[in-house]
Amino acid sequence: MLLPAMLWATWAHAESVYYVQSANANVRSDPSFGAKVIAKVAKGQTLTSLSRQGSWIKVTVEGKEGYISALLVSTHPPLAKQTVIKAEDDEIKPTARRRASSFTSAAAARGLTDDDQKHEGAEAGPDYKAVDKMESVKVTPEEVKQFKETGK
Amino acid sequence: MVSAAWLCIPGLSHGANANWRNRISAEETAYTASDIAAEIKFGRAIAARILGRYKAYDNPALIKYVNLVGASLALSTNRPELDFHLMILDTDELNAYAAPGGYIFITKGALKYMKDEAELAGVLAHEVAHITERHVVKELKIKGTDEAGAAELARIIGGSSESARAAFGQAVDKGLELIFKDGYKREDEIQADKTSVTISTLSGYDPTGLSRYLARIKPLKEKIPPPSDSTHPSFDARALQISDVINQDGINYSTLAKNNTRFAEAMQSFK
Repeated sequence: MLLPAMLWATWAHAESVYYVQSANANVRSDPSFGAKVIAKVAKGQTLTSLSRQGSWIKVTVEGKEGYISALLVSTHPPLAKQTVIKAEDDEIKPTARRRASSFTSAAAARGLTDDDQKHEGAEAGPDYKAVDKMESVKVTPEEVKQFKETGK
Repeated sequence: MVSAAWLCIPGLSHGANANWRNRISAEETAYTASDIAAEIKFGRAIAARILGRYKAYDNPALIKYVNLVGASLALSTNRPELDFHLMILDTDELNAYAAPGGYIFITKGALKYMKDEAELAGVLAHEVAHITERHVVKELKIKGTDEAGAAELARIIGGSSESARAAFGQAVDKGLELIFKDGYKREDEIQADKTSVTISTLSGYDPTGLSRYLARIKPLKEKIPPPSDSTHPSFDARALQISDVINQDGINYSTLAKNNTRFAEAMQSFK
């Protein structure tokens, strides 16, 4: 009775495959940011995981055992970037209300002044033009790389 | 049960890339491309309502700066399929908001109370974490139907009927309530703070930025009573959680960046 239970327990902690999601990531000798980096891995690379320790996953890579942050991996391959679908925006209308919504009441509770509100009184509708403008602000990978390298 | 245990011998596995959906751990749900598309469309609709409520701050240089900080944080997450878009809201409120799919808002009021780029990074990383951990998407699943929430949301969003559009509108209303009434589950707020520490550290930022900012705004925030059903942890509880993660994960934050100079330069354009 004990042997199958032991095998079941072993299966329950069987190796999982994790895929690196970030552009690159460090694998460290111990589950600590102070530990030595023993390998660098790249997006899409697969790692065999042995166990999880808090926010770290113990993995084997290049024949070595080490730890990678759980935030940088997933159990599925990286997905491609999604294109924003802008069609049908105007068809999405806020739910009609006769009384102030809890959103409006909450805003009032947070001490918003009239100056802060674009639309006094009635529930504000969606502003998709403003979302388009928000999405039009682009940062290129090269700009981000330079930004990271030139901080002071 | 016994035969299954005998068959699943550790070390014998399929090819790494094959049938990954079948090996999803108990911790993770399999999200497909259509689930992501649904999340973005839903988050976009929430963003549109936020921007219907608040003016966007007209300062392209500062907006670009905030987007660069956000984009550098996003590199240290497991959601490469998302583009993060950040906007500054023209209000003196001290707040930051996240909508699913990558839409993050920070108020002028909040920026005015920050002292360095690590504080901005910490606040933004908390919002990034709400998105990467799918707190709103998961919460609505819980309140929604018996089916897997992401699939249900995709069904609602894909529908073109009047009832599908109404259901979508109601989901957006619920999402807004969650965001604006401090309606995240307490454990989701704690997870966002803890994850902020890790994202900040992975991005090279001093993770005490968030706790320094929170300590500074605490006296101001405590003047405004929270919504009666607020589940937000107290400022002191948040500071403790942040400090626990820093200690447990061996983070030597004194060696990590604050970027005071660049932050001060960026803030010079503040009107």
